[in-house]
Amino acid sequence: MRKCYCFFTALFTAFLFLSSSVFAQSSIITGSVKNAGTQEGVQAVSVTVKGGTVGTFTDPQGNFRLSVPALPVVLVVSSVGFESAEVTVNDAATPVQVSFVPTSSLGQEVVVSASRTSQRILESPVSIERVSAVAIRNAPAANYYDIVTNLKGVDVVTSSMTFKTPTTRGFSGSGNLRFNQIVDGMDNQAPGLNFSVGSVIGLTELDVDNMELLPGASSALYGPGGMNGTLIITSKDPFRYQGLSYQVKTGIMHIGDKERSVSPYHNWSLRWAKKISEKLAFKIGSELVQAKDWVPSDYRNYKRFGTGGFVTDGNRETDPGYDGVSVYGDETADPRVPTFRQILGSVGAGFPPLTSYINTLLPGIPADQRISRTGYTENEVADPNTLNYKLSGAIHYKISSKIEAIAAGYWGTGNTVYSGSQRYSLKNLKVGQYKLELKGTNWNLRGYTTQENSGESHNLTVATQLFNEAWKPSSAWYQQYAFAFLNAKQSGRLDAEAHGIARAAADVGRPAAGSTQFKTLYDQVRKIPIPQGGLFLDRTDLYMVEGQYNVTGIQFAEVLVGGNWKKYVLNSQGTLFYKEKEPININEYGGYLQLGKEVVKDLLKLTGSIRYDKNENFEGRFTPRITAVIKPAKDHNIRVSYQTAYRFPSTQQQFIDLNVGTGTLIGGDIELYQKYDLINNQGNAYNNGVIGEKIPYSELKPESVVSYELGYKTLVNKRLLIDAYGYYGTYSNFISRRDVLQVSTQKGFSIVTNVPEEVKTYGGGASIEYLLPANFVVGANFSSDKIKNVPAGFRSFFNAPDFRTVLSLSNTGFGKNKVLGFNIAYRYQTGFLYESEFIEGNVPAYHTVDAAFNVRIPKIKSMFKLGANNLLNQYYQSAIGNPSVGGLYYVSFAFNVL
Amino acid sequence: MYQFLKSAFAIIIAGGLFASCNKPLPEATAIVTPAPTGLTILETLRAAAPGTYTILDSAIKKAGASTIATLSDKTGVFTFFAPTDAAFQASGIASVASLAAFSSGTLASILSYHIVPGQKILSDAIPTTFPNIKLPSGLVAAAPSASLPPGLRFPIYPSRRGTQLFVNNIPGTENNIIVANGVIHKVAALLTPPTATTIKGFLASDPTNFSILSAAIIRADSGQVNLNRFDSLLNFVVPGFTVFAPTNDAFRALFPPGTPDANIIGALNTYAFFPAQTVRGIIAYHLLGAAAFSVNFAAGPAPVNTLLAIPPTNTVVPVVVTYGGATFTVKGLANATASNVTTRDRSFLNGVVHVIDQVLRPQ
Repeated sequence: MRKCYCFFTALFTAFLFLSSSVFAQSSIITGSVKNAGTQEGVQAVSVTVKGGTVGTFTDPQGNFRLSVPALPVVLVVSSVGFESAEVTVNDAATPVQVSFVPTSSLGQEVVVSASRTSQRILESPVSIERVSAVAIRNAPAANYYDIVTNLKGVDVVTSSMTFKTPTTRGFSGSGNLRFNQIVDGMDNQAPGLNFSVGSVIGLTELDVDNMELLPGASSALYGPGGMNGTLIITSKDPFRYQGLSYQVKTGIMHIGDKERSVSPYHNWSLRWAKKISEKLAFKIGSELVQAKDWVPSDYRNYKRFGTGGFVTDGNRETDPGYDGVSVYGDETADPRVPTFRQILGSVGAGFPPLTSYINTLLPGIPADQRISRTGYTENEVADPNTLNYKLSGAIHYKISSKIEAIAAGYWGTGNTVYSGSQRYSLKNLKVGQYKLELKGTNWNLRGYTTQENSGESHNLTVATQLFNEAWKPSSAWYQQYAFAFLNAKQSGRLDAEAHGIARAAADVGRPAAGSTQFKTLYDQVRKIPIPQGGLFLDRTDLYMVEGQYNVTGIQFAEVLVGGNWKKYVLNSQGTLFYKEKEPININEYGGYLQLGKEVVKDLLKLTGSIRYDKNENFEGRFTPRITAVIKPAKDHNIRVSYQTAYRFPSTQQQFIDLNVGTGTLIGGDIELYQKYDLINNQGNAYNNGVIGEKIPYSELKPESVVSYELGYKTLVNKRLLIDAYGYYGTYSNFISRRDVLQVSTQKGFSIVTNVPEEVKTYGGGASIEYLLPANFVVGANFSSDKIKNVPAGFRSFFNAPDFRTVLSLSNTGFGKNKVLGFNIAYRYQTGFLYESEFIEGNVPAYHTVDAAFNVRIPKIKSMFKLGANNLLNQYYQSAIGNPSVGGLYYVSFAFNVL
Repeated sequence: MYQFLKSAFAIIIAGGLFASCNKPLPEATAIVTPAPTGLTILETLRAAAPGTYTILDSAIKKAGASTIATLSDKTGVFTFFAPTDAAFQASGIASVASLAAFSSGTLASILSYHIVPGQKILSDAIPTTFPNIKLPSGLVAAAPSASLPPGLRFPIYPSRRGTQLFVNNIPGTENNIIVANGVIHKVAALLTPPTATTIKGFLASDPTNFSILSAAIIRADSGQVNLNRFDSLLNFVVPGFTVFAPTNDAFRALFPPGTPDANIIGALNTYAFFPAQTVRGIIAYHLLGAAAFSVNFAAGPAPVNTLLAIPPTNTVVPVVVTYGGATFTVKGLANATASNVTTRDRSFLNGVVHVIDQVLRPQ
């Protein structure tokens, strides 16, 4: 684990040094907080001394204990969902009794991520969405990650039941490089595999305190990557949320699925947190999700040209070159696959009496007709079991009342499927994130590492192709095919029938999917590392140190400074990255400064921030942000912002060197061009099978976006919350891939390029929430994202519907003792063209309904929930080539989550 | 209030019910090839004017179910060289009654030789120049096997000179009658399937006429291996050749009258008289690289390339062929006179033999 651990050592040293300081305390106040309605103790309630830094939280029984320097004090008792209370304590001997009144409120939440300091959500200078623990508890979602789907402006690509990738403002995809996900301060993008592992290794459901979603450019505060948005997930503090809690969720799915029979869904989650003393607390969390995965079953014919293509007519029976979308091993896009004319020609050369006959057949065969090997469907090759096991833990130690040290680890493993340039079975993928953090009242410093292990992950397309080769090499298969074809023709058969006969003849003895022979051979192939087999040996790591300081004592303005250093160590043993250079180290560092000032009291607040980042392979970049919040009246907030964001090409965009079965993906590094002689022997542009101009090497530049946003948020009468926004963004040096064909070698490459033109996106959205009597909340949101100035023939991968809307009705507590709750959400989005390196095509419009009903039993601090994702079991696809998602119906029992 | 809730609920549920409109994932669509329309070959034959195909129709009936099925198979495609009544008569079958002389199996074989299955070959697709195209007919010589994966069919040689179509040595009388399952070309006589042997087999089977030629081939092959041996080449079913085969008399004419054949063969095997290389050259000079029937030659006299190529420049030495109906001669460059083709157009699995009365001499 190399020298990069040195910064952890440094952190530990700091930790030990600081822990020597001790704080003196005198009086001890005890007390309890009870729900005014049910008389049950309320846990995790914040109890702080007004005007001071001293505070604590109630334990699972609602009791608290707090040391204060002197009496009397005023305690502020607060928690989301209750009316805040203030209690004056004069005497430490009498326990304090707080009767806590539940309340429903809108727009009262506090967000942190909009400007890296706490502020009311209403006053956020940029668009932000927040999902609280209460919302998670009540949400109509089988998994907390799914909740994001129903926020406004969000698109989620479902590559697998346990692999969901959210994004905002377009450019959605399984591996989204323009949307950051930050979990407890750690960027959780897998450094080598380049996708966010949030739903794979992120927090366990019971440990999520809140999620904050920042749509739009956010590099200024969160560094490179957040071109389109940032999702920040924060876990529960063990000092605050204590005790043992668990949740057992069981469901059924695959009802009416043509690919899989009805099967169970299991999700078990456990969290245990304990405050050992006022200084020390720890937590452990674990979650297991197990189910039969959703499976793609798009068997339409795909006409592929390099990494592009389109869905076309034809099936296995009627198109000899059939390449099914969800069928692997039948790809013919590689220009090196011989055409049928070439195959017949070589048969003729070996068997001259047929030469004339073959020559008279050739005019009837299209020049580009290729014969595809018989493939296997994803259902046949991919492990049907999706599994996700997460284990996390943290130790929090309060070095002083102002400094807290945290050591945390998050580890996850699982089986899931990811859609990149192909479908990848992420089998026994293991990702760990480990963090050391020091937090002061106005500063923090943390170091973390992401350790990635691709386990038995493999490319389904390549593995299936190699399986076919292992069973019968294509040379032999094509020869048998051609002989049988000619024989059928000589018996008078039409071409179509002759192709069928030929395939049947060449496929004699083909291992049936699911047979022992199939499994044995397939397992053999997928376990051999690339390029001989399908296995990735990715062990890439990321190390990061960052800190932030909120400068106090400056009259002029609020000042925030921060910086970070990041190091990637790419190591795939040649199965993903440029082998000759591995391990590849990439260093990145950056710093930022933010100034905020209320220019006109209660009317105008301006914030400006600037950030500088430098990647050793690219020139440094400044990204400024200027925001203004105007409050024309109380609870009316207009926000205006100018933001920039940029991203360095991802590790793969720099150094990937991977044959994906339909060509070779290479990064922008010049040495890769040299390796394939693409500098002297340049590739030609290759679009829809047409060979175009020569493409010279050009140095890759970071991509940037400049975005303007106008928003308005208002709270009317504490009952009606309205939020609206509009944005306009301009991307320059947009990073994309294009296909080139090296004519002399007939090798196809997908190279990374900057699009010379500027690409513009714009859109907007609005949401309304209305608090009805008796806790009912009705809500509606809609949003739209569009792109323009996309040059002809260029693929933007914008992947956003023109319109999406969510209508919802919920209640967090009604009926007797307010123990009943429900939430129902209806989502609709229009159809759109989905572009990816894997498959391109139209995703039809779809509707879906999620619903949940819950009953709380305060006596045993438990909740039963009955829920459904896709209640009406209407299968839909979030992206072409990805699974069809149907209904998931579940019941859950949760203990100690109230 | 509850009224409102009810309606909100109703809207969401109604919206949800909309969801029943989610389009199911489209299935792969089959590529539909339109079913052929019109009459099949057999129907076309039967629909023709009486007296056109009367004998053929009877022959087909007698040939049996398999022939009938083939010619009326709309799921397949065939090129049929259809002998008209006149064609049968030209071949000595005067009437339907004359078919009695043939077994149904024989008729089935003969008729299947008139078919090129799997293709609709229009006259335009047939080259007008030498070499001819060699196509597999419907008459099976050997089924597919390990050594013959696509099987072996008796070859058929369509050719064209100008607009005139020929099949083997038989002229066509009407081209390109397009039908639902292929195309019909009328022919002027019945096509004779090749004898089911190779050229080597034929020569060996007739020692009276070709024992000296066979011996000369053996001499020519001395020191050669595999397909460099004429012996092997002429026994190999794969290529198509034309052999101008000089008879024993033709060889005898080169020697003093009365020289016993044994002595002639002895001389051919004697280096002092005939080095193997010389014999090899002479044999090569009698071979053309593709099967050519008499009708395929130009009126001439015209040079036609042989397999003889003289090193070091590999200059190909031609023979001069003259063809015009009854006239069919071939002359070696060193011969004083042209030799007559005494028997023409003998067709075998691997080519055509024309028997000649002089040995051709290149120089």
